Amino acid sequence: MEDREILLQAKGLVKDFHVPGGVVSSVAGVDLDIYRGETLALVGESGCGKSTLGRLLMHLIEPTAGKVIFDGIDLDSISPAEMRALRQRMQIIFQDPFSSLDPRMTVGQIIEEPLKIHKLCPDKKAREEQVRALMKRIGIRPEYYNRYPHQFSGGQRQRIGIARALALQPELVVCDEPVSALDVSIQAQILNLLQDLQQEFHLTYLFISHDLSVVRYIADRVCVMFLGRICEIGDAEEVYSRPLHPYTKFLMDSVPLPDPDQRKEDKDLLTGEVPSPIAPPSGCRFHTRCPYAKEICTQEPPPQFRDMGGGHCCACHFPLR
Amino acid sequence: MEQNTQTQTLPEQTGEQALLELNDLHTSFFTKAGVVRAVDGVSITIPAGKTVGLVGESGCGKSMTAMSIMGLVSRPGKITGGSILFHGEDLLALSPKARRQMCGDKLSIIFQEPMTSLNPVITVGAQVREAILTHRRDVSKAQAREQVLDLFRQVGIPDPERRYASYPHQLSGGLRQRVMIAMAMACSPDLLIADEPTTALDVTIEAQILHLMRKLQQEHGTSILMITHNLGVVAEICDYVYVMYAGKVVEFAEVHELFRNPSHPYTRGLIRSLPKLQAAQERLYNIKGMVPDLLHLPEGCRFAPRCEQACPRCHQEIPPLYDIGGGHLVRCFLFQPEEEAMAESENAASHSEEGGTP
Repeated sequence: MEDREILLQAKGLVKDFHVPGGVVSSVAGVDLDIYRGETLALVGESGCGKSTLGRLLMHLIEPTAGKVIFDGIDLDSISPAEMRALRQRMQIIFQDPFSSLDPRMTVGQIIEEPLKIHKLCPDKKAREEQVRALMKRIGIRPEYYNRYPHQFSGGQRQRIGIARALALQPELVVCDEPVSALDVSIQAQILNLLQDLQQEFHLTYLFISHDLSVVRYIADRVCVMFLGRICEIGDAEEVYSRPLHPYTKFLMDSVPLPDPDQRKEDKDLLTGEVPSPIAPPSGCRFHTRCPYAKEICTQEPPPQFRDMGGGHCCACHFPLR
Repeated sequence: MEQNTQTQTLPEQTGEQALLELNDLHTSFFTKAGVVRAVDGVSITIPAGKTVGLVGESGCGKSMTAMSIMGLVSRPGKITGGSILFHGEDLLALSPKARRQMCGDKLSIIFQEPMTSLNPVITVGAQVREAILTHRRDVSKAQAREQVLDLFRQVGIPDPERRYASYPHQLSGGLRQRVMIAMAMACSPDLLIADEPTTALDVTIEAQILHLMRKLQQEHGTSILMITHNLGVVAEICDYVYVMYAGKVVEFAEVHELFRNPSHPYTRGLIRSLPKLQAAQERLYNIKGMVPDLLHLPEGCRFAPRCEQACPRCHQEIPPLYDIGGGHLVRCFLFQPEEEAMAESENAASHSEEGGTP
């Protein structure tokens, strides 16, 4: 465990949004390490704060409290110019391949733009060569250099988004639901591509997704979030075969499996809805939906990160083991 | 070739009464760029009281099939052929008024995004009440309100009295979908069409909604046409499954049979390319290429350009649906019965001999 190098570290991260009717703590105190070369997945239901956390870690939004440390550099302490330079090393891929590409730019221009901004390749010819090479690697024919995004399908657009993120040869790539807008047959292509690129360019991924099957396939470690807090984190294999937090277990049991012999029928489902983030429940935020909740769960927040062995941690008064 | 496929009956279903039967349905869009055949000769049977799945990827024509049944195809789209028999009566032959009376009463639909299908400036209670008042002339407003509250209870909306006066934006996605289901069930329809009803929902809420649909079906005996891209949802709730690709049905089977013995190369590829929840995988299988552009469909089998087992013939002719046993239908030449293939090749041979001696 100790030999792994921490690339990105979050310490006590909090992000509050002021909305009519109160304050939403979208991220409510998160500590997290991302190791170099791994794929860490953030999973949770909508509104659990996983995308906000991704943006905080990239310093795309300012935290209300806490700090982010990238490769030993506290992102809060550096100047905007230094931050811009640091952006070369961290890039993001968005969910919607339709709204994340400028419709008035050609594919070539889109992929080239980061190189121009960071003045990485001042020679125009060489830059174009580099873009074409990248297009080829990513599975877009270099002849399409002058085409516009609307001329491509969703899967191809996602490839363009990936090429743009990789143009700067970053170390960390945040993938925010990169396959949820894609069809199943295309999803598999993109997941495999992401895996190949990770090997080839020694990338570290923060993979944000609500799809537990996709996460199991791609992640080395998994971090489960509920209402702004991490409830469980550990090696993917561990978390999937021996979930510790009741929420993780219910999340996994809810997924409809492509096997009619394993129907849920009337197996116990998680009842109720996600509580309002404006007025989160006291104590453990999950207690209103948790069938195992006891008195203490309604009053005291669970101890953060009890290590149950091998770095498999969970925040629960009564872990399932 | 196409003709004989349409007359095939589904052996397991002959004992059950068909509630809805689509026969060789064609729905096309007449665009400036050309004719898009979104639904291209689709035949589907929905037995009474069963859940039938219609699966496929975006653009395969599954939603347009639903819209055709509901009479919601709008310009430049048009139903250009086939019939839709509901209780043995052709919906396409009905007057618009008679059709309208049937939709919402005997036939209902719920859509993917409940926010866009509910009216944002009317309370959800009043919207559901309207569905009842439109179709039940003998019901008073007060009675209708009672029925709505009862429906809300049935679909598991907590605190129905208070929710009755809520506007759609005040409800969560899961609750909005419950309101839609309440509205769709308001007149106890014989057929409920669910077009990706859980796609916009979180997985724990999805499980609740699927559970609710199964419960309502058991209580009311409603048939369900479940349109989805999610094979997990299909396996969870359907009795029979049709797999569509580029406007055509490529495979049909009873649900256990389909997952145990997927036969069309497309179905097999789809199932293999799913990441598994219960096991770690080294490498995902993927179907190469992408869904064809409906304006420029390939000759022959539409899946042939992506198919690993395609032979030259697949690029020329569209295969019919072959019954590979027990009513399991597959639109692929790999499943052509041997005798038929022999007869054909003899035929072809004699033809070429004739042609060879002018």
